[in-house]
Amino acid sequence: MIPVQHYLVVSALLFLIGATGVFFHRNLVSIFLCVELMLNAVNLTLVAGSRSVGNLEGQALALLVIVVASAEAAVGLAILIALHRKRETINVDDQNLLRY
Amino acid sequence: MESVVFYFLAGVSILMALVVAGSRRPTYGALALIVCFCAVAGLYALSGATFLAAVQIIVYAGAVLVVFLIVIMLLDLRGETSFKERTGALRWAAMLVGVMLLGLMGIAFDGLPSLPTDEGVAGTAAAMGNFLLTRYLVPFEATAILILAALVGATWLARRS
Repeated sequence: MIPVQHYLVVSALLFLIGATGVFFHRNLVSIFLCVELMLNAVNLTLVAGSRSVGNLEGQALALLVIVVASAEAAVGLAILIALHRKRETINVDDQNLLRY
Repeated sequence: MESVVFYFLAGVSILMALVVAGSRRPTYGALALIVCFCAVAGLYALSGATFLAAVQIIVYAGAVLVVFLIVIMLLDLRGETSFKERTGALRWAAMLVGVMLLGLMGIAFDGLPSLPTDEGVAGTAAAMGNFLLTRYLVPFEATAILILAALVGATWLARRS
């Protein structure tokens, strides 16, 4: 059986790659993809913890995270479409309406 | 055998995650993310969460990312010329954030107590359904309301005014 620490290392690396990608990209779609990656890394942690302690709580929580993530994706993509329709760009550096 | 499968899936998922974080074009990123999510679903199945693995493939790889691809193709981003990644100082700042997070995770793992590894639990569809509809009933119904609100909100946001 694989030690639970190995799962945790994999999920930490996935989360790290996702977080770095969020800083790295300027395209809103790519940023969303990286956020989804981070949510998935957290789910992997929950599943590994669920196996480690031997009950289903972590898996139930992971399922709820999947539902919330899909809701987030739906609303986020709708905002993205509205943004593209209004401002003709989805480059995050061009969206500075709330900066000041 | 199990460890071979584990390391294969872990390698595939991390490699594809790197493609997602590094690719300049969101289409390639979304396709790589589908592969990454399938590999993560394999990791779920390997640790006993078979129902969650199926949900991962059906909902995430099958629905969410297809919606992503549809939106990418709907938006027609060919005119976007400024999709170069961040350059100069910001790129180094991103790298620095990554290294600092890696250090923080190292510290966190160092202080981790030795966890039991051989408990194991079978997250079959029957067990998960039983668990969700008894103990987790209220959060489960709350997510149902949440996703309904999200769908109505998304339809309203994306409307043609």
